[in-house]
Amino acid sequence: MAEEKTIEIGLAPPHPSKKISISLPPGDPPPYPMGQRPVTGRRRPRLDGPIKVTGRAAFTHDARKAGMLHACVLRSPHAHAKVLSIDTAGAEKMAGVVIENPKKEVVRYHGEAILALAAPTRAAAEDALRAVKVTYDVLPHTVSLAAARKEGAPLVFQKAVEEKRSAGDEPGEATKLPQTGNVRGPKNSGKGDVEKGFAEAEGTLEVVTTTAVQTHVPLETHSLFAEWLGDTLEVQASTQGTFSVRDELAEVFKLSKDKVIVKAEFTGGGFGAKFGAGDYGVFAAKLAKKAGKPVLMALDRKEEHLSAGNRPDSWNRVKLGYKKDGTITAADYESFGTAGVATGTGTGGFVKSAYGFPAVKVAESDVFTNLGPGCAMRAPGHPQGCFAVETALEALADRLGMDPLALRLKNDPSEVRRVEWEIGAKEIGWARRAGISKANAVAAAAGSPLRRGLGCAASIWYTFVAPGSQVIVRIHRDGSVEVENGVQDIGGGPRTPIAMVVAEELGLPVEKINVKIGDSRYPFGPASGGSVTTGSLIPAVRAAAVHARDKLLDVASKLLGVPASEIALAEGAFSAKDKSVEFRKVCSRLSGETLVATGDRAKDYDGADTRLFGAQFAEVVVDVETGVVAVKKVVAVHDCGQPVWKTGVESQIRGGILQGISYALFEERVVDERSGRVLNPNVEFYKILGSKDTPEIVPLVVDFYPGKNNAHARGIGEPATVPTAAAVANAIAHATGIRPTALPITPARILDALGKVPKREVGA
Amino acid sequence: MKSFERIQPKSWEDAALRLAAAREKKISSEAKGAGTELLDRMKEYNLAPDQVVDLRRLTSHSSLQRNSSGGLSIGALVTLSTIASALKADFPALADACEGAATPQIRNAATLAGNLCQRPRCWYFRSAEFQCLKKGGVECLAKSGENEFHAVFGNNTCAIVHPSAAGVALVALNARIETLAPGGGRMLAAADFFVRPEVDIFAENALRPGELVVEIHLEKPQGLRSAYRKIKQKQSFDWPLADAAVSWRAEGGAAKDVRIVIGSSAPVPFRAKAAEALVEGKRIDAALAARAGQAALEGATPLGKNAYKLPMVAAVVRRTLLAAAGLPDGTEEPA
Amino acid sequence: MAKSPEPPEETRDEPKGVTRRGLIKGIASVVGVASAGATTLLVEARHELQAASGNGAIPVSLTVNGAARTGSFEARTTLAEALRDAWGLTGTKVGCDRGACGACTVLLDGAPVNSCLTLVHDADGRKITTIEGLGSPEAMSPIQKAFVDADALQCGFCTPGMVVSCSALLARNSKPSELDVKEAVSGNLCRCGTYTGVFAACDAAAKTGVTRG
Repeated sequence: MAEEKTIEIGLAPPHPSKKISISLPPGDPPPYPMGQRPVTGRRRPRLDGPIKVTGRAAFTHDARKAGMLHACVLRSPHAHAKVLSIDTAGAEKMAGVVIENPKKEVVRYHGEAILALAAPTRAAAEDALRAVKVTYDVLPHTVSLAAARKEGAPLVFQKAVEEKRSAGDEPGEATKLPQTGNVRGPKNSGKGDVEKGFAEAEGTLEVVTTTAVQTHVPLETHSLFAEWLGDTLEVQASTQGTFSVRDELAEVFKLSKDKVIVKAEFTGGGFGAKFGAGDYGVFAAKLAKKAGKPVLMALDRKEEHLSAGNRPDSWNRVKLGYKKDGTITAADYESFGTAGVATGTGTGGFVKSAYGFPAVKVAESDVFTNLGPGCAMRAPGHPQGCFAVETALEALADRLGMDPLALRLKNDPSEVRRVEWEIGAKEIGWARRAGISKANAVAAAAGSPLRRGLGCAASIWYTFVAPGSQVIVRIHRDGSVEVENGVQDIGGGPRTPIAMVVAEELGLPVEKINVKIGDSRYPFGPASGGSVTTGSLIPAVRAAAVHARDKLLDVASKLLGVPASEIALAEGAFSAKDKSVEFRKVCSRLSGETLVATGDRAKDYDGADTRLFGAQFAEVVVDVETGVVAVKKVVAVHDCGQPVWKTGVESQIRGGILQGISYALFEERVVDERSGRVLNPNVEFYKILGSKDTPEIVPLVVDFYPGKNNAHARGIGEPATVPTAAAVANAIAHATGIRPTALPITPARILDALGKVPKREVGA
Repeated sequence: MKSFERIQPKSWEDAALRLAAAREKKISSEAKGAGTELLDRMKEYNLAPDQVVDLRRLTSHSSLQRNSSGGLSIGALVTLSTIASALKADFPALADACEGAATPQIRNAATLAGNLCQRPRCWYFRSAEFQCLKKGGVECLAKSGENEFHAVFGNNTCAIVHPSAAGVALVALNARIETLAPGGGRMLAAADFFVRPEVDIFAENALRPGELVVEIHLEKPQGLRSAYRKIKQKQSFDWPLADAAVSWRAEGGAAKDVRIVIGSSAPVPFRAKAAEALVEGKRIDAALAARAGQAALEGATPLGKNAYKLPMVAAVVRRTLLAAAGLPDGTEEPA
Repeated sequence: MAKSPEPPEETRDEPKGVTRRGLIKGIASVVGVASAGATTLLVEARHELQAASGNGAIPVSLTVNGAARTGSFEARTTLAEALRDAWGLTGTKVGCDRGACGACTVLLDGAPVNSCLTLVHDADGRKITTIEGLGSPEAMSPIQKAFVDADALQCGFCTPGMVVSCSALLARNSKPSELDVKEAVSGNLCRCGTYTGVFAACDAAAKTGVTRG
């Protein structure tokens, strides 16, 4: 039976908290009370650090087995074509080559898979691939958002397309939407009375912003190693979802779930693109079956760019109704974006959720193009939407002569974020802003090309919970402890917080906890997307650890002759008053060989707002003679409930910021309009921030107890990247007086906005 | 990459003979130094030679030799990182050009001769999926396509930019390039080594088939001043959007024999002759450097998406002149 | 280093495969015109005939992490492939296979290079150090330990290359500035965003006074 309990939620002192009454789920320990804990909430080294820094962590790329084959995929060189013929005779003659040819009839993007084959070496597989002859009837294509929207543009799909939700998207119902030409939508949503809001406004302001396609570029490309052991398919996958890969393979090969084993101990980055088995993974399993040998399929960098997902581009129009004191009365928001042959480009989440705008109307449309499918990428839609709205707010602050931060505070009802704004403003030195403006004027007069600027932007994300997560804690008679869950490590490093939670409950050193993850034979764990991993998993870990502890306490109680409630468990011993017994000794008295305790992720109970807030501040220096931007410092203040492993949370924040800066300044997929081919499917001209572009970063996490689960656990991966690009853009605006409305903010765009780019008549 | 036969010659002469022999037999063959750039093209299947003649393991032409007059001979196989660290004092333009090229890993392997002979990074040229003018196609695809990283000078035929930063410095330093070929070697002025697309659309330099670069010679006249600067979008590994090298002899406070060479802006390292003429014989100061930057734009023919490079060229010429003169350029950040 | 001999027009993009007989004839003619000593030529001719027949494998021997390694590889085999596929040293990663990401960084006679852009035969007779040679989980090198302490890693895929670059930096510069570190890893791409940890790790490793990274 559920137990009624009073818990304290909110920010830690000195901020006011509140007491609420909850129904504690049966068997679930009560949430952490406010205050420091001995292990969790602290910094410490990553448990799997030593094997990663010594090259011993075996990624999917590293799978090697005697007799294995290497696979590769034949891909379309055309943006849109009928496949007239496929001649594999040359490849078939080559030694050890197996081919999987699904006889594709139409290809809709540059890099779309046509067939796959495997051979004893990667080089041999490439030789075989080049021996396959394909003839095409090239069809008209459309590859830009603007062109594809036009009437009469070549159609990417002849029929209406149903949305296919991937595990990384925000949860939601697949919707049937109108489709005209290549435009699917609009999907309308919103809140409040927008007409009334605009009627009450004393002015309106409209901006249009655009963002470019960003590709995930995990350092380890999508890859899968497949081997059939009798009727069981065993794979190692570079994935964000051990179980989503298992379920997809089970479905494709019509196998029961117990006949598919997925291992995913180490994944070389994902960022939203690695949830399923993928066509490449299915090819690997089919080839393995055909060859009767293990097969490794690892995409090359070009395939990764072309076919393995991206953050769609966007065109966003935001119109704000406002009062002269800066209060926003309504927002009208429209977005178009292309995810190539896929859907899910909406960017309206931010405008609806981030601030306290009373009335918001959103219309989002997908535009199909002949380009590789977009997919979830770290906070889908939100960096784009944040850039649009925060650009509009910055423009409004300018118009009203208001301090940009004051304008945001005027419209921000979130108690948590108001604290975050305050902390961040202090850390970045927001009070310097007026002085910096003056110094810029002095620099300009002195002929220096360098201008400094400060900018800020808000974050918003949501707490999602993947239901069904379960954890097993095993304690052996020798005192050793294992924790099992199938979750994968894509870089967030779940081994460490899992061990910390268990170590804390059992009073053991963190290193003594043997965490076993990344295997579908362990209990279900969440896919790492939507920042759900921590929030879904940690409460189950804690429940399992508490259950194990309680069982040990029973044993200790008998040994010590005192009631369990009087026994403390710390530093490897059970103690009561003057009596004490070692952890190992208690374990040696277990009735069975192993104590097994399970913990389930209980349903959320009452607590704070489910939104994750956050505020970021950026300081930049812009060279107005060359348009080159240097980001000097980013301060990021975030809330993520009670961080279990502070080091990991800070690393996630740093990573989100660096991806955000890279998105703001560098990243852009470039497509040749005439051929429809991507021109920069590499990491040479698809530009990604590197060491010398990395600023000082100050990650700060507010001490927050949101309730909802026994660990106050929430995620951080996504909120950390939402506002960075907007904050950088606003800092550039402050530095230069221009207002960036297109990402990436390249030197070309800055020079152009500054009026320094001559028109074409120069010398032409 | 396609399978090939590796040829390990015993000497440079042997290598040249092997290349000539292959040509006679209509066997495609490529000479390879470190191979950092060659392998890139081979992996892209943009190039699939039957033979690769390895030069990397030859022992001659692999060191720096100073002569009595302060000049220098640089062996073809000397790496960029060696040049960057050894020549900072004497030839800062070349040292800085090499120091900023590519990545530390590539600079540790890549040779000076390989750097001079590397093929363009134009994305149409680099992708085997395009048949551009340089590969026997009918038109330069960049001119009417995506040309943001392409040439703003001399781009009438083909809009590549020459990728060698070292080449920009060597033209500025008036280096001579010594070659070896079965019929005898040559000595080419660096400026004559690089050829425009109008001269040879299939190559970016004057080397004849099978001819090899063996040494690069530099003289160090009294009072030599030089500098190299570049502008990049990204400060970690990235190709410059514009770069420049300058040199002159300081004579009683005036700059003599001024050479101003712009990189990343034309199919060859591009001499800004109007800017040179403006500066020649004068004392360099901030105002003159700024005027020279503007003068360097003479003859520019920007394409649809790269006119932004013009202010960059002006800026980089201004800054490089001031750097060689030891003067501040205004980008020194206040503390 | 030289311009390639211009293939005939029709073969410019896809040079024709050479027949084995043609190849051997070609070699014979080279032997005929070369002016060097006959013994060497014979040895070379044997190598080339090996290359021209069978699977085209050529022997190579080098030192990897202090131990002699030998093998026979096709001429096109990169050092990264030999390390990973033949010698099981999968700590060296291949991220872009074009020298632009640095995940494949190894030390060649002490200097960091891209093993994806180095042919294994170019490393013949030379000393290679891979990530595995710097330390083990039980006995990490100072820079490896500093990476763990500073959490200079997330997914860990770029990490071996990053560690190798930092190790080489510390071996030649015992007190690197942050700018030195930024330069040293400017050819190592990290998508998770661990650079600030890398800077801190190098700083900490340098402060321990251990110059050998």
